[in-house]
Amino acid sequence: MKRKEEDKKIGEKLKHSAHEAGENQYFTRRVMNRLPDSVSAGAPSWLIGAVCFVAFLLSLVFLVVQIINFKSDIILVKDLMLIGTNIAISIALLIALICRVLRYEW
Amino acid sequence: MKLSKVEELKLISRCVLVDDRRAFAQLVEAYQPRLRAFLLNLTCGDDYLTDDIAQETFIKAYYNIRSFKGLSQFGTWLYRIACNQYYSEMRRCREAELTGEVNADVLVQNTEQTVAAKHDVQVALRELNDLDRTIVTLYYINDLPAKEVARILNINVNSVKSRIVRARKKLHDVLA
Repeated sequence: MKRKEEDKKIGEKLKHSAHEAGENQYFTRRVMNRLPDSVSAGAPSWLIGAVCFVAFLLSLVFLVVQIINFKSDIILVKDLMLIGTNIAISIALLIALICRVLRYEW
Repeated sequence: MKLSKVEELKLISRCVLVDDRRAFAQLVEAYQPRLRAFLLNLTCGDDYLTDDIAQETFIKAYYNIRSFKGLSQFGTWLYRIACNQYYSEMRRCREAELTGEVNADVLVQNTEQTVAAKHDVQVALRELNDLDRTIVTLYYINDLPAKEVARILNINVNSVKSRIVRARKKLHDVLA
């Protein structure tokens, strides 16, 4: 449906006399206050953070154990790969932990 | 504050996935001026009723945000909720009027508003029925195409077009 010249005129007149909503800076706060309390407020974030922390500690322990065992004369590719994987996992968990902590502060 | 489509989808997915209240507050902040202006025209300038309906609209949107499939725009979906909320509010008011439960203060306020609304256009809009007024507001004031209006009101496009023609005639008589 194309707007005719008459439509445009009516539109202009209606817009001219239309009510304008004044700024209501408390509106958003009022809406947010009326929302229900979250039943599991913070629980998933806390749980994920805790899991990340424990996993990070475990991966660090494994990494230390691997590095201690690494002090041998023969370096195996298998050991290198294991240490590499462990370092990658530790870094990933550390990043996840940092993200968690930063999200709390935002 | 106007959100891009990507930002909007990001906020909606944060609301759906982790019940992120801050994301929802950003959506409310972005849409409340448009929605309140739209409702203010529907309610013929009743500030209190507008704010009530707008608040209810956002609360319903929060509860049902998981049912938003993203097939239409978020704004369209919000307008649909607002229209339904407005119609049910009007129905409730009419029932209260019939049973004589209308608050005297509301009547006085409405009368004052009627006196204040001397402008012909506002009077003409008041004379339209709820559905026609919604269509005229969306089509002429919010500049939405007839297709979008039909989608918001969940009615046939042809029905919207015929109602626009009918309303235009009525408005033309007043505005001429």
